[in-house]
Amino acid sequence: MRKRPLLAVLLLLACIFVGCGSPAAPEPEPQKPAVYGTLYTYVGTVSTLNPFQSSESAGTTILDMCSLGLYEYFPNATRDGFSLEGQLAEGDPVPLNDEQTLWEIKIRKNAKWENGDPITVDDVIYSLQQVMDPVLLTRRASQVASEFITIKGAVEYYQQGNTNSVPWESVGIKKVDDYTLRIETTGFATVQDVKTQFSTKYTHLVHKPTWESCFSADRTTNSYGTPNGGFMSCGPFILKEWVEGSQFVFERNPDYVLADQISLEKAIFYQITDSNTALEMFLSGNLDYVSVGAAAIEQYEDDPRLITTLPESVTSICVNIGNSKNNNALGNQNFRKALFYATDRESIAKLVKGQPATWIVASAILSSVESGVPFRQLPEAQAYLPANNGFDPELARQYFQKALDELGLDKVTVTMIYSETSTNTKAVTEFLHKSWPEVLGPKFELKIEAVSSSMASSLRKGWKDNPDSYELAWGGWEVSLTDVANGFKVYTSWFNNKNEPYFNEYYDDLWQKANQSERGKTDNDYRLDLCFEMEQILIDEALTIPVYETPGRAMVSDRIELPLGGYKAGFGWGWMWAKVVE
Amino acid sequence: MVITLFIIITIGFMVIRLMPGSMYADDADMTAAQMEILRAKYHLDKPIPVQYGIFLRDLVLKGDWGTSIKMYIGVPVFDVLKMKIPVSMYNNLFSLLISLPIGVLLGIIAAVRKNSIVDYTTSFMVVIFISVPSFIFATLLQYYAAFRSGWFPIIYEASATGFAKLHSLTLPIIALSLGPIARVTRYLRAELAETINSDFMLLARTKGLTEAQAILRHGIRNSLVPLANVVIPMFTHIMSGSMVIERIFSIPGMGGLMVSSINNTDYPLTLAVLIFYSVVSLVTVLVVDLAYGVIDPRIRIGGRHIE
Repeated sequence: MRKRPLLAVLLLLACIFVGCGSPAAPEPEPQKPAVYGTLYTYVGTVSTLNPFQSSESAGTTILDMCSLGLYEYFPNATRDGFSLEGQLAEGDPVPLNDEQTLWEIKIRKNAKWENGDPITVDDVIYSLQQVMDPVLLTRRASQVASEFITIKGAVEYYQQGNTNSVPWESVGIKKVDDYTLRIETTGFATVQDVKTQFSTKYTHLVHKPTWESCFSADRTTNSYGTPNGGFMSCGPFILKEWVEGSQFVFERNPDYVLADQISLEKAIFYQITDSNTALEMFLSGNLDYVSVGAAAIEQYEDDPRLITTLPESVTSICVNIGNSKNNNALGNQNFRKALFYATDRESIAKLVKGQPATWIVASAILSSVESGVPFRQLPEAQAYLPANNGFDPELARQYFQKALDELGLDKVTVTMIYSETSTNTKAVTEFLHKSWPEVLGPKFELKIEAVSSSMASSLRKGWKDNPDSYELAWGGWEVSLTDVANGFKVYTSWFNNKNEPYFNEYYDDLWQKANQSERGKTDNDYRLDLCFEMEQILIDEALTIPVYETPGRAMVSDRIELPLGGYKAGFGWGWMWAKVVE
Repeated sequence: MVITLFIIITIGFMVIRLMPGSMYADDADMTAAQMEILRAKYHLDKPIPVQYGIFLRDLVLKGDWGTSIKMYIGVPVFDVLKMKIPVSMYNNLFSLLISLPIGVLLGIIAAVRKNSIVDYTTSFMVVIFISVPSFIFATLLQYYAAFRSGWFPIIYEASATGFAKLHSLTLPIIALSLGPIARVTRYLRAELAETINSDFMLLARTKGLTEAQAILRHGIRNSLVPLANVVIPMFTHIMSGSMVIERIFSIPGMGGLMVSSINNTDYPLTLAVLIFYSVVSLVTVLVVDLAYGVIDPRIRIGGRHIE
């Protein structure tokens, strides 16, 4: 009680000093910061941020935030599309000869690492040398050496092993000055080819002193970009915290070469692998984005925040056409066509909440970045698709009977393997187990076998060592969304990781014309014509039986404004350009 | 124990290497030439017995468990385990620590109040906690105690320290503990209920001890001996339960490492995780054997050859 008068006096004094003092000069209105807000989102598993070793899509998302490459897809000025522009590079590559094999790329002079070290051409060359180091041998060496362009001498360099027979100086990557790079290719290339090659994450820069400190004693391994190694940011954001398996915390990089384009102050990427957990986080306001799985979609169909995106992969049945069982029945085109037309895709699509697919090129893949039109929406790409979503029981029975006659068999029994952990493929496999024999009759039997996902993948790729490794298996390629012709490579004779033992010289020739010839590179109509023909061949061969596509579904919080208003195939969500608008 | 571990390592190594397919099967764009060079780098082009010899040589002479080839590329697998184990141990040990006293207490109450409403309620809860998998409780707890009520964070807060960290781990620890609590309760209730009716308890009461004194001094002590057989292996049980619970609460522990290393065909990492779980199981068995002798001297003496 005694303290109360004292308290009153203190309050009075406070009033005198604070509230009753002479009016202070009006303070200027605090200027609204140009950069504001924190984005909360999530990714799946990220094991490494080493750009030369990363193969996880989540890893690419994270690297986009904090590392730097020569070129990058940027939203265009009208915010209705995107294009490949210089990030570290200042402008497009310039051809120095008529053959377009010699290129010069200027880089920006204001680029810095997070510790303040300036970025010069030496950093670019060092990074390219490391990704193709013949002793270290990174996973991406072959793609850097030869993908959209083939860099002179690069393949020989990374494949030399410990022989020291091919010096780095023989590789077509040269320094002109601190801010000018020269690239020499083995054949004709376009500006777009060069830009695309150097937009890939595996050509992003690594910080030399940090990278060197992460080498093992024998220089055969390097722990850069792992929780135990080091990492140096230089991208739009600085990686401030990485709790392995848990979260990435980014803060805006004031020294980023295009810092004025960044509107976020901070971004937190949680690592969440459980879809229900992610959904609860979103609904409780802890996340700004969530991917909505098929199981939950009915509940949120009417939610205005729901964004549906075009499917980026076709789920197909891979057919091992080299399998010797049943008198090589799977090698018989009529038998494969019987399976193709016996597939009731509409019923299957309802089962998986997807859409029927009778094609090879997924719906999201663009006919060209410039037009922004998906290949699938071109009238020519629809003209050759079978009617009724490829379900024709009568035609299927005719093909089946023809196959039996050709094979001299009374009955065919084939086995389909499926991943026990995939709800969709499990449901569809069980559906086909019942429906195919109903369509094809008692002379056909489908056996189904559940295996782990890694085992399914191993068996599907195992035909090289064991031609009978599988008969039917589920597959689906995720290829370039911006380069439709490139994606057809997975069926060429030389593609190393094929699902089916398919070798067709005519098809290979079409692919080469589309991707490597001067006309294919410069004449988009010609290139598309070749793509139509390649797709028709694949559908007609039925060496892979397309079944369904699943659109992506996600919800984005109202407080976030995305650079292109939503998701765009080939561009993504564009988190780094997002704004908080609350 | 060493021989058993050696056999486990040998079988594990062989089984992992005999799995069909190539380690680089999912590297879509890798050329055949590069794949061969990489296989040679990690000795995968050599016969399996030779690979095993190299592995044993490095393990014994250099203490080298190998390097992660697919997931944490370039990081020694031992370092990956060192990073993951403390997170899992934090949860698992906490879970074990709270399971024991609660389980013992409930077991005693149920036994003392046998055939009462308390006993029936406890027994009912025990049946539920044992028969329903822990990840179901984890999901329910996450939904009601975190998402709906907001009492706890939905996921593990990686940056938190001290009490905040414990707060974010409360739900996973509870989910992990319910099963072990039920097991201890059921076991102790059965043991104690039998002990209470034994002759020496009658003698104790006849000597003038109160019911509580008799139970405390004689009943519980005798009932705790067989409990060692349940409690120590319970640790491995909690560890297996944490595999799914860590995924639900996004806890970066050992839980998902075994499955993801198998799915990624990261052979050295899979083997390291297998060795870790094997060592824990073997140590658990050893501790149980040793604990018997400590808890009940009759077992220790009974083992000796008395002249």
